Formats: sequence, C-alpha cells, structure tokens
Amino acid sequence: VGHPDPRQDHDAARQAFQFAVRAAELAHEAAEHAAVMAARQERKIQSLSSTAERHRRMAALHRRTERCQRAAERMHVAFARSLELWLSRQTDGIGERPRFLGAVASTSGWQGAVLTLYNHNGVERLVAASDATARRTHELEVTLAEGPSWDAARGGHVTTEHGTRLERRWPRYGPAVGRIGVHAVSAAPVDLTVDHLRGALTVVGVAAPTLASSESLLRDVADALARTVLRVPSLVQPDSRDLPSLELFGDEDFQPALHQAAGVLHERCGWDIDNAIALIRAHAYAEDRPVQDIAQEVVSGGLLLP
Amino acid sequence: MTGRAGYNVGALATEQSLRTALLGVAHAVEAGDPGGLARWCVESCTTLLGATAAAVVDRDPAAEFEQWRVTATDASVRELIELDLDLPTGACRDCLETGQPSTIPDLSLAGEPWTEFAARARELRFTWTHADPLWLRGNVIGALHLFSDSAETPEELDLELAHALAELALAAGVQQHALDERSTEVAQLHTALNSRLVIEQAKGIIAARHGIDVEQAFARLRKYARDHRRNIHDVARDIVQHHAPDLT
Repeated sequence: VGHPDPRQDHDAARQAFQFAVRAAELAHEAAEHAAVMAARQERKIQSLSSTAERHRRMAALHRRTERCQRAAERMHVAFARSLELWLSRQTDGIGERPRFLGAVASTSGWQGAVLTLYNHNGVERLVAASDATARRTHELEVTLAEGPSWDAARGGHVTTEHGTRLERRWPRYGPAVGRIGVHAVSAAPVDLTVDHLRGALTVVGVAAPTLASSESLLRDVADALARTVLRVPSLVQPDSRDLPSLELFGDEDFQPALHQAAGVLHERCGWDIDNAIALIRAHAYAEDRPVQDIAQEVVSGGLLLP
Repeated sequence: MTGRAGYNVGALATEQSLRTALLGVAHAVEAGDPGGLARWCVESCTTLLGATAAAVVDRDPAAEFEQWRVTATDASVRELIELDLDLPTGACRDCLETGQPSTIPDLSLAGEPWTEFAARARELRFTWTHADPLWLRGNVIGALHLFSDSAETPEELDLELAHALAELALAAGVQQHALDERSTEVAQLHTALNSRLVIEQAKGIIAARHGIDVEQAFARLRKYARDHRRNIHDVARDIVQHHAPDLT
C-alpha cells in the first residue's frame, strides 16, 4: 500500500477537520433537542401521577439519546482539536496524522482504543486503532482466539478486567498483553442492530481509569459510534487513488495485507476469502507470530500456505 | 361511558366493512407505503365506521428532530389539527403527551385545554369529537382524532375498532420505516467496507495469477477500470466472485 504524499495527507487532514467540526455541531444540536424533550417528560412525571411511569420511560429514552449525542460531540471535538494542532505544526511535516480512534480513547478516559467490526463469520471487516499498542492488543486477541472484543460483540454487554483478573479471565491473552504494557482493558458492544455486522469498542491502558462511571461512559461512547458516528452518509468518498475511503479511518484499519493475502490464497488454492483469512490466523496462532507478518509473507510469495 | 378506557362503544361495524378495512391495511403494508397506511385509516373511519371526519397524527420518521405530521380526510381538518399542534398547551399535544383519551360530546361546552380547538372545530360544523392516543410498546406514537356533526356520540361509530385500526396502521408504518432506515444506513457502511476490502482481495488475486507484486496488480486493476469506464470496485468484485475479467 503506497502512503499518500505529505501534500495529500495535509489535504485529507483538512477535510477530516471540516467534517469533524460539522459532525460536532450536528451532534450538539441533537443533544440539546433530546434534553428539551426529556425535560418536558420529566416535568410531567411530577404533575400527573396516573401516567408517571410512561413519562419516566419516555424521559429515560430521551436522556439516553442525549448522552449518546453528547458523547459523539465530545469525540468529534477531540478529533477536530488534534487535527487542528497537527495542521498548525505541519510546516515541518513532523509526526503522524491524528487518528479518530485517538479521540475515541481520550473521550472514554483511556490510553488506547480499538474499534472492530465483524461479519457474520466472525471475520474482521474493520480494525481501527488509536496507536500501535492498541492495534497489537487486538492482534493478540485474534491470534490467541480469546479476549474482550469478541466477548463484548458476542455477549452484548460491557466487560472490564485489570491486574491479575485479566490473566484469570483470559489465560493466554492476559499475560500476552501484559508483556506489551497493557494491564487493564474494557470493551463495549457496538450494536448496529444487524446480524451481518457486529462490533466492539475495546479500550486499553496501563491501569483502569479511577472514575467510578467509566463503564457507563464507555457504553455511551460505543452507543454513539453505533447510533450516529458510523451512520453519517458523507462517510464514503473515493480518494485520490480511486479507493473508497471512510473519513474517520486510515488505510491500515482495513487490514490491506490480510485481504491481499486472502486473495492470493483464493487464487492459488481456491479457498473462499473468509476461509483463507481463518487459515492465515490459524497459521499465526501455530507459529505464535502476528497475523500481519504472516499475511505480508504470503503476499510477497515467501510463505506458501497451506 | 362504557367499554375499555371509557369508550362509548357504538354499533358494530358490519362484517363487510371490517373485511374491506383489513384488506386495505394489508395492501398498504405489502406495498411498503407508510403514508398510504394513515390515509387508509382516516378513510376507513369515515366511510366504514361512521365518523364525519378523521385525522391521524404521527411522528415524521424522516425528520431529524421530533416533528408531527397530520393525515386528515380533508385540508380544513388537517389545518385544524396543525394549528392546534403549534400551541404549547393545545388539545392535540395534550393527548400526545398525557396519553389520555378524551371525548367531548358537546364542543360548545369544552373547557381548557380544549377551548381553542373546540372553537375552531365548531367553525367546521363539528359538534362531537374524540381524541385517542395511539400506543406502541409503551410509547405514544401518535393520535387519532374523530369528528362528528351529530350532537352525541354517534350510534354507529365503533370507537374501539377505529382505535385498533389506527394503532395497526401506525405500528406497521413505524416498522416499515425502521426497516428502511436500518437497511440504508448500515448498508452504506457495509458497502463502503466491502468495496474497500474487495479491492485488496482482487489485488492479491491478480498478483498471484500473473506473478506480479500487489502495487503492479493495483495499477493493472485501475487501468482496466479506466479503460472500460467502470467503477474500480465493480471490477474488483467481478474478479473475486467470477474470476473475470482477465487483466493480462
């Protein structure tokens, strides 16, 4: 995958900045509206005892929408700020372009974050990470076939472990992420309400946030991703290389090497794509090496599978 | 008043009326026409169930924020409801927010919050009105308004049946919209992901087939798409699914 030149990178960042500012405004308006609707219902809880329960329920629905939109707003604002800062320093061309998942991590109060979307076969369609450590924790989860993302996507609820509990819950994954400095993880389902696309947001760090409400904050952020952030129609634009791109995600979030390798195996051995991906994973597990490395070797012709 | 939730149950609609009504809703659901459901409902209330006029209020599912839309037997009734919905304490809003049905047997005697609504309704020569909240899974999703020019609850008007038909119509509309919205928004994300991934997969296939590297494979894919004025991900999908075209 060729990296876009600095000029293109700069333009893409500017476009992402404008997108984030607009998305933050829309989320703000929607949150304010939900707050007004909720307040109207809450006033009625006191005034009419016979229908109090109904109003309580409707108020709760509006409050949930409000929390979700406020979380979306905070994410977009955080992303816009980091892009603005990066753009202002770009005269020297230093540093990597900020990633949306970095804003997701900071909004959730954690050091790193990974958003994963799985298809109906449990194969990842998107693995967006805030940084190399977060990406590596997800890779370990895939290679070792256990961990928080998959549990959250399948189980449908928030799961948090830290310290020794991490190793007890996931005997292979726990020690492995410990070796790269991750001693606390939390994951929430990203519920897109369809069966063919399930998701999870996993956040990682040296320690869990001290905030007592950190799980409910994570739930709001995951809710915001599922209900608004991933649903903005202007998300899809072909880039300068004719590749369809999603504003919020970068090249490596689509795991290009893995899918290229699956294409190679499909051509050479007739495996269907999902099975080819499963084969590459199994090989990575057997060899105890990163999936991306195995995929890269398949693509370059250095590794002949099966 | 007798019957469920204070309904004054009039004469039963004939079996034939009910049959016509149910066929109407089945048809609108099958055609995937949510607007048609509300129209069918107000028409059934007048032609089959004996109301002089009727209106259905429901949430506009396409609106970004909460917005009520009105389907009525004619423009003057629609205007009556719309004007009332604009008032902070109108009769229609009261029905939607409290979830309480109300029957006003004599509009000339109506008090708050019905005073303004009743005055306008009397201008349209209505004497009797009934407002009925419509529920779906514990939430008020709309309201049915019925009008009559007779002085008391009309004998032949079956309120319970009118209510059931209206709730059925709105529930079907809500389901339809949820289905549409869910499929378009998530489908868009799904398509974006698929088209991106299928291009990477096609690169691998072309590279393996022709013994070239993935960058060269991508160049070949792009060139083919441009030369044939085709979308790059359509070509990639054909290669992954049908092993064609051949890019030598």
